[in-house]
Amino acid sequence: MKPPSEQPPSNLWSRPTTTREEVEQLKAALTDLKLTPEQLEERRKAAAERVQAFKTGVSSATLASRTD
Amino acid sequence: MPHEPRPLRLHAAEDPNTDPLVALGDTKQALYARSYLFDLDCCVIVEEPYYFDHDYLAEFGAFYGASARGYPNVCRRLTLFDSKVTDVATFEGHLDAALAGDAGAAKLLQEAFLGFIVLRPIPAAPFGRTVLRPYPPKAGVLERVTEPCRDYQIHLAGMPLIVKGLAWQQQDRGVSACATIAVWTMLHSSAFHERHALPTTVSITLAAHKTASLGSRVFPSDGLLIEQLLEAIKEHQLSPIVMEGDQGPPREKAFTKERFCGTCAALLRSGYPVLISGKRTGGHAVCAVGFRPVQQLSLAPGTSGLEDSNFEHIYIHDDNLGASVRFKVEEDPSTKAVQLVPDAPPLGPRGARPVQDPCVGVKPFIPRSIVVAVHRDVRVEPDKIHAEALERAELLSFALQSIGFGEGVSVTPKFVRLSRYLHDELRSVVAPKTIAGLRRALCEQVPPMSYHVAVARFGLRGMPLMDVIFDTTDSELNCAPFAHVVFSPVVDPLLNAVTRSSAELERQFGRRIQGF
Repeated sequence: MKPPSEQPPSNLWSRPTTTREEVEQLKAALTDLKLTPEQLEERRKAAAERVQAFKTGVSSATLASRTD
Repeated sequence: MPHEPRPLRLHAAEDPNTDPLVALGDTKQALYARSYLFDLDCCVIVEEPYYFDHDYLAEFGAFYGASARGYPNVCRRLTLFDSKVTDVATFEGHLDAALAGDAGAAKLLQEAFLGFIVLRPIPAAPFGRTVLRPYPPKAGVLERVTEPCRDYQIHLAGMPLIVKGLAWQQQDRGVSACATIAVWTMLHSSAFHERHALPTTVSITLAAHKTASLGSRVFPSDGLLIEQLLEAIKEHQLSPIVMEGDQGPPREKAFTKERFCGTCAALLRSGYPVLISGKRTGGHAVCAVGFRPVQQLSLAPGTSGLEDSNFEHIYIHDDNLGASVRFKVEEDPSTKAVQLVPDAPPLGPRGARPVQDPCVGVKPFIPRSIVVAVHRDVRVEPDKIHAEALERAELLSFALQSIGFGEGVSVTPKFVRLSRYLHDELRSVVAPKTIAGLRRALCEQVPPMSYHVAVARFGLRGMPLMDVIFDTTDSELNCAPFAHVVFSPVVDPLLNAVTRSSAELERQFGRRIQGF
């Protein structure tokens, strides 16, 4: 595989099938990974906090502004 | 007076004596159109002296026909060609050959065709329906996302010509204001190509006033409330979604960059243009039609992010300026609120443009809220999909961090027709030997999926890991994934680590389908 600097720019929607060795090698380490229910619960709470920006409502104040 | 026959007129672009755009003077719209066409290497302009325009005829019937000024009911149309046609004399030869049936000449004219501009006989607002080809792709950077663009076919003396773009026009304050134009562009989108007739500005203004007039007169139209925009969208058999800024006091809501860019990118990738309502000098509305993605760097370990959360340029149809105007997405250093600043593209191969930059002096535009028209069966809002996807990405990043891996997980969602996902989207990420089995598995092993689905693609820098396919037809409370398509063997142990049982795994990520 070419180093990143020599690859054409791409993103997750445009990229052709690629693999990265260091990612593929994760499988063995992940197989033995055990996260406790407490760890997961704590992380879920943190995740819910992290996405607050996507949980706003719509206010009538905004709706009342006229655009021209 | 009946209209007298007149010949087509051929002009060299930027000829100070004959170019009809030069004759329009120094309005921002005229200067912008000339700059844009110069960058596209426009060489020849064909002026049809009579063009009966669908939109203008509706405007004439609703407003201008009753004016004492004596407006005609007919427009002019400019058809634009680049330098592949060399010059006016050579172009005329190609045109005559093409009209005589010469396939080679017709092909050349199609390749040189840049789009068209309808010029209305309205002195203060001549720019009617305008469709221009986007700038060509640039080497070394990611290609612009212009998914809302669609094909428009015109006929020049019977010769068909096709341009891919999205319609823009100037507000006239008789029939339409900025918000009307933004909705009009939005409803032209490729996403609605299959099922919806193209609206006119008249039909949008009438629809906006049908149930939400609140005593204001219909014509002349000098502005719409957001409620009226939403009503106009509903009257056109689509569903409106409103998202307001996520920071600031109620009357001055603004967007953080992550939410603004992430939301616009997801919608634009889905083919939905994005109406942005906000403040420039007063209230204003524009329509975003594309953006330029940027190459992502690795996320910090233990963190998650939207892949498109920090793009730098968004392309906007602004009726006060022109089509696909390039704006830089900036963050106010103190408030972190997003503002959009006009940012002319670098000079192209032709060098300096013939006119001054019409965007000089245009103040930054501060988005306050986003409105988008989606198909009626798409009931889940983009914010919900972003939140669901990011929450899952956070857990996956945590699991990777626990084994010392040095990157976080990024995610990029979009709405897409299921058939298109199966046919087109999977091709970019699944090996040919695998794709047939994968498509069948998605049809045979997953509960029946909705016509439109929300797909969240998870990945690490340079590598997609999986797609999670969400139902779009249920309520927010019941929002759930149908399936997840696994592109890498590391995904299964990762998912096992962040879920406590196979039942939970299926509830969180849907049915597992192998895609490698």
